[in-house]
Amino acid sequence: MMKKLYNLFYVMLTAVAITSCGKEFLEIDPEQQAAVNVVVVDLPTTKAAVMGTYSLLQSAAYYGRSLVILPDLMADNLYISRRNSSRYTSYDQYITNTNDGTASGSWNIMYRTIVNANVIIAKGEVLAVPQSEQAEVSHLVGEAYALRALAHFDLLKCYAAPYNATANASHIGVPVLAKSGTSKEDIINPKRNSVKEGYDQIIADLKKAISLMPATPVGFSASNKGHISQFAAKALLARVYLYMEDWSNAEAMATEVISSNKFTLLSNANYVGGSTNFRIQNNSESIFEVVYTSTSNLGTDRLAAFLFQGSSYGDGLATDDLYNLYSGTDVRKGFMTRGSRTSAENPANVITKYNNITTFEEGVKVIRLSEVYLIRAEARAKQIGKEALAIADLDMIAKRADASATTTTATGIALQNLILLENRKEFAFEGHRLFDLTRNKLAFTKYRTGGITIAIPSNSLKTVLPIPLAEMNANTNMEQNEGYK
Amino acid sequence: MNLNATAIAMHTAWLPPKLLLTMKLTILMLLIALVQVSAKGYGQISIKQKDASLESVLSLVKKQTGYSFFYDSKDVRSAKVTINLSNVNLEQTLKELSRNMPLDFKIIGNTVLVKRKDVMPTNFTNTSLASTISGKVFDEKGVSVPGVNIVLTSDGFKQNTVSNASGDYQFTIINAGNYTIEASYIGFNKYVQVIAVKNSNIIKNISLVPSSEDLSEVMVVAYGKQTKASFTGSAKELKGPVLNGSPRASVQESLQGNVAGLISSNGSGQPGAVPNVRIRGIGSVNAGSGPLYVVDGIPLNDNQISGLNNYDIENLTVLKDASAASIYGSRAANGVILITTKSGAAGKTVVSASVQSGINKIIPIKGTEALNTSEMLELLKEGWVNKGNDPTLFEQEMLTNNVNANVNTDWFDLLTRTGNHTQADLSISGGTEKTKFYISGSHYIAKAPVLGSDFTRSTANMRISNQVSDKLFISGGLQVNNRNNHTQADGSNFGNPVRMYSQYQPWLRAYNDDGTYDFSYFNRYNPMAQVLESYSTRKAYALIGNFLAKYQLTKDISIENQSNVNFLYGENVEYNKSGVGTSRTDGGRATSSTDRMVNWVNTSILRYNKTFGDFGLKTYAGYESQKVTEVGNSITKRNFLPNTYTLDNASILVEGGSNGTSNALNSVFLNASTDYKAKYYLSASFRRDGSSRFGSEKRYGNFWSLGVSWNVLKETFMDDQHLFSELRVRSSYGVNGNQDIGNFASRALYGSTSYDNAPGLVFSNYGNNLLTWEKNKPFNIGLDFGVLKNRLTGTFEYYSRATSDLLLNRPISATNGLTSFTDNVGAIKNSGLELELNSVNIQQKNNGFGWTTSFNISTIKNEITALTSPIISSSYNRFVGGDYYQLYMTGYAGVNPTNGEALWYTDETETQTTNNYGSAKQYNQGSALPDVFGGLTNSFSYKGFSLSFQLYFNFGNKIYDNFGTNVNSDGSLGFGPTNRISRYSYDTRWQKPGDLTLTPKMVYLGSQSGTSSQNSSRFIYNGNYMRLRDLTLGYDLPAEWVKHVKLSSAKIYFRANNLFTYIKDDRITFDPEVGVDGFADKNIPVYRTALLGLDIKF
Repeated sequence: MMKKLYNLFYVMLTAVAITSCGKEFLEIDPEQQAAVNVVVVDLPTTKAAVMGTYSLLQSAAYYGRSLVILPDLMADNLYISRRNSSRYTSYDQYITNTNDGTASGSWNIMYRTIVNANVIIAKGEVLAVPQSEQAEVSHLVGEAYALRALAHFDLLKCYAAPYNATANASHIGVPVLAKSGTSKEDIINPKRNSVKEGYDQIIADLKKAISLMPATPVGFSASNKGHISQFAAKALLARVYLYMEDWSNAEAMATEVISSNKFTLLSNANYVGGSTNFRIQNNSESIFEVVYTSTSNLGTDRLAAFLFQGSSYGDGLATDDLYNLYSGTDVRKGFMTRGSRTSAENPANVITKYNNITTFEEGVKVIRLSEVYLIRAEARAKQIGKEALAIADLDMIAKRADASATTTTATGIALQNLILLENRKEFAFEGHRLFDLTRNKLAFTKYRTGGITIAIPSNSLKTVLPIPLAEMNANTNMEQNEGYK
Repeated sequence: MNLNATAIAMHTAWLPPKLLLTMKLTILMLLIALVQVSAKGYGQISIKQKDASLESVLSLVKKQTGYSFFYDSKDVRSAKVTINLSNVNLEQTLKELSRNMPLDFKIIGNTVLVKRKDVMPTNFTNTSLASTISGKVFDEKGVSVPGVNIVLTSDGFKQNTVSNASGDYQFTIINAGNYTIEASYIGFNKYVQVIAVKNSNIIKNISLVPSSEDLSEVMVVAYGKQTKASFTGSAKELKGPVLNGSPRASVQESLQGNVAGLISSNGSGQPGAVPNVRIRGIGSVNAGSGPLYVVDGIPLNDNQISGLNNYDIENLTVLKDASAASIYGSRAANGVILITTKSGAAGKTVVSASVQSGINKIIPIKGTEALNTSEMLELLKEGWVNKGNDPTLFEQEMLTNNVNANVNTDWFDLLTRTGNHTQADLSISGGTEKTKFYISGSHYIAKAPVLGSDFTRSTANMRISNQVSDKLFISGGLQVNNRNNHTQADGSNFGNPVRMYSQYQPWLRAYNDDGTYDFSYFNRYNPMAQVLESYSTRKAYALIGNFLAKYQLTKDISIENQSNVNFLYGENVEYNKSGVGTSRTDGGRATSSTDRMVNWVNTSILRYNKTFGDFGLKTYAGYESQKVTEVGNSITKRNFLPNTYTLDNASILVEGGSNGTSNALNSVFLNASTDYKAKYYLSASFRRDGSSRFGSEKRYGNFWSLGVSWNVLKETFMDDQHLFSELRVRSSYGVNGNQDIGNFASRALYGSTSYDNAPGLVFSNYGNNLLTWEKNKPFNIGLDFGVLKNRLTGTFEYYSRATSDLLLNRPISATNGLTSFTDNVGAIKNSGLELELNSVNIQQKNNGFGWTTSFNISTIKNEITALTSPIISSSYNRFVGGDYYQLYMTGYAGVNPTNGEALWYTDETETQTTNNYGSAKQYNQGSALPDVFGGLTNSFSYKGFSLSFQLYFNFGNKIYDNFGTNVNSDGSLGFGPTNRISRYSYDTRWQKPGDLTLTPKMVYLGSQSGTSSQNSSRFIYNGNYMRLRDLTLGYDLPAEWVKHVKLSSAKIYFRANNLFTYIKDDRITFDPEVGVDGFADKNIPVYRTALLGLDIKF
């Protein structure tokens, strides 16, 4: 019996020795992902986290498509072809409900941008790195501040009424987040802040970004417009002030960008066609754009696929109302072709502003120099005694596009309307139009295929997007927008 | 064909190289035609030796003849021989040796097998006393039993044999005396009798009595086998014959309708597709809901099951409750499916060959015939007029839209075909009491009934076992398979042939007049070019190997170790031809990827079985570890040279990358069962698992079960009754788990990305150190009964399984940067009744008429009992009190009879309607889960004929047609090239005031109804259906004929699947067998098959 027990013992021992695995057997680290504790711990991982945040902007739910399409589609510039891929059709019809995937996609990606920026800011500001790397880390933290501001600004534009909807902007905005966590314990259910609180945070963040980034970028060359530079932050700040109707600050900030002489307008010949046209990434007019490469792009979800015929879908067409605005000599008319859409609209205004279907290296302009001119024009026109300066800025843009345009003579409201019109012509299909209409409290006509129109009053509750149903369900502190209750 | 070639006793624990060689060669020889060659006339032999070792004599013979000898050295080592021969042939030489030695010789080819004689006379000189004991083995019904192990012993004498195919056995003995004869066979009591042998032949028939553990069928259970009587859990065992002849590529498909409480459906007829199996409802929200598959002890994932050859499966056991499944701990929550592959049986070597070949077609559902050009134009013209347009301008509109009314393409005809499949199997099994083997090979080729979808599978399988000594048993198996899939896009993807044939307009052409593809429409998505020029292929190579060693330490204690490795390698190519559809502008695009998985499992088990008086005890304890490692890489390039297919011929890199991941599990387990007088049974199990997937603080979990059963018939008060032949009550309760989530769901992670050619990191997962198992608590109570001498048997069960700590992608506010993280929250409950009845309606006597019926029916109720917040995902709404597949969308209120406009209910009260879709609210629309489902199988037999058919039924579920808005577009999409309208719409549309219908009027380019965003209950259908799933007509060729061609049996059969389908809802114009989620997409439908097969054994 003893011998048998020994046998048993040996067999067991061997079996366990072969198969036994210590505690470390269960300690497996991911290979394709990085654990949070190894991110933003040095310059390379801080840089990677900032690049990761930029990559969120590339998403089709953000600058990759939705944020460019929706403001034109929900206004009077764009409509969905009757032969379509079912994308954005509810916005074309103004029947969006709270369960809509586009509204939730954009909401999610913008907050994801903020959270990623928050982690970089929190860890990057206290990061100890060698002196030689300090300047670049600071610049990266500055970019994170600017990205956080940009995402908050975009959220407020899409999901809240304009800044001027109430006298002191006390109306409901979006949750404003200055810090975020990465563990279960950090999960939050915030309430919506007021629009004022949101803009305060945006201004503080952009100012902080400007202070952290020197005039000459660190870590990338000034000719690279795919990253936020000091002047990109200033240009964005100018736009923020404009939306707040803080005319003098808007003008001052725009002037800083223009007088820096770091950016130049594309020539008339090289604007729509030519070798360095609007579509070319990092062109001289671009201040900040979301860039794509042949290996990092949205494939069939890219903007060009949605708008350009002969690529994938070509669902989005320009309204006649827009097309007819351009004079025959305006080169910007060349961003459209009057043609037809196979088996659908004939005639159709086919959009060609985005057309790179070979390398996909076609950036989405977040802000460019012509906008800074028009911001300043508008800010000046709204201030007493600066109309002549406003006209100079306006004509700079109008004449660049149309060599035979006459010098503006209008004043007062007429001048302001001309600036607004120039905005519409200059930034068609760049995601501006709806916000320009709503911040000016204008009613407008939504055009659809087959001559159908929808009248949108100036106080429409449907020009803001719904808070996503999933957000409403997950966060009991969240309040729905009035138009979707 | 009987060949005692492998009967070589082994005498050491480990196989000596010579023996291994012998075994290999033996198998090799079996494989080649097994022709015995006469040795007459070959080289003459002259030997003169005295007291020489046998080995030296054999070596001399080898020299003189060139014949090789195979033997176990133990048999010949000590043998001395004196022999004097001159000029005799080999046969005579062997005869002489055989006369003097206790050895048999057998010539096979130019090899001689040497083995110990079955008869081992103690005194070889006195052969005249030889007598025989022979007879037949019968069971209690008087049917002969083959394969029974019979041992004859006496002082210094021991001999084994096995009853042959007709139950006969025979011993030859030399000495008179008292012999003990013992016969044992699974499920029967051991037969022991002492026979006094004098000098005459004795006929001794053996009658086996079913073992005291009443109708003790043995079934495969977790980590072993067990008698049915002692089993306290809920399980259903399917034997080989149910599975073996099935023309379906994967074994899971054969479970549908055969197992109560089990739904197996994937709604796709793509050959090689893996069905979703759900046992007793849906137990999880975000973790997997599929069962654990264990093949010969190796946990495998479900898509590897389709690499198994149906013919290699000996049996399959579905473990449903805690008592049966909890021993698998953290993976048992959704049930366990144990698959045991075949192994050899002692006795005659059996060669089985089978071949079947069949054809298949897409099932025509009433109302699916496509509209032709004139019907389609009639609809659009009606819509044109309804829109208020001038009818005379319609022709002009047609021209503008490039519609040629003279073209009438039948896309269904072009894109479908008569599919076919052929399966061929060959298996050889046999062995001796000590060494058993099973080898097989198979080949399966299937062409789906849609163009461009094919599947082939080749398998090879070998299992060999050896009782090395009284104590040591070893067994090893190796399965190799190769699967090649060639598939087309499925579901709602572009390029899916099913989608294309149901949507393309009849006025579009496939080919231009010159025979080239017509690419003039719809972004060059020409259906024929898409199907014929682009492709997606997967080649998978899998290997499953295992080795088991079992050592009997004492009479009661044994220890075993099984090590397994499972390897899978896949190569995938997705190719889009330049100029066709997706690749119309990118110059052609292809993705080539590979994936490799290694799954390593090692299990050690210590068993202790003992009977103490009236108590029986069976226990085992085990230790198991498993590691799964997966790696892969993928590269996409575009811009191909014309007519080239490898990525070297493409110039632009789109993307490339590699990936790697792994997980590990470490466990101990314990199981004990005891019985008292085979009347009361108690079983308990415990398992502790550690998993790498969970939070560092909650890595280990404990799981257990308790089961009881009461064999009522054993009670004295049942002694006098004659009604019941079987009556047993059993119940179980326990806890098991689910860990079927991503490998790193508990970790705070950043995912990798890139921006501006620089690497990027983006926050991708919330950390949760407390993440742990989803807990499942199954309760089961069941009654097994048999009446009228088991003419009618049945099982009635009630189950409930409460799942808590759901591994939920818990929705969180998007302000956290992500919209969910994996947490243990929420609970779900499933409950139901299951009834299974088997009856012998007419007992077959003397090969006359026989009729049996088996029937099963199950109910299912699923309820979400706790959830942090409702989750609306795609078309389902998950909320407390609802069930898992609660459909959620706008309610359709029909058509206004006065103007033909579509109406929707404004809200769930369904009191008010609106003609504006945008102002109607979404609400719950009923569940996609069936209330009741089951199967009914009737089998008839008469002489050699057998006929059986299986009906499957499914009631009470809703089906949502994902393409409803598309094929019922009411004219809103005009001449859209892929917007053909359904025949149902054509037949039922509103045409004039007063028409009562559910289909609104046609409006050319209208938007009041029929636009693609108007999902509603208009496209939710009643899912009730009944289907003649299987029909088999077989004929066993008469034994005389079979013998004539030297076969032992032969059967030919005809089988048909899905011959007839009854669909309740006439709006359903697709196959009603959709996935468990009730979501009807444009998948390749389940098709109708007819086949002929032949099975032979020799």
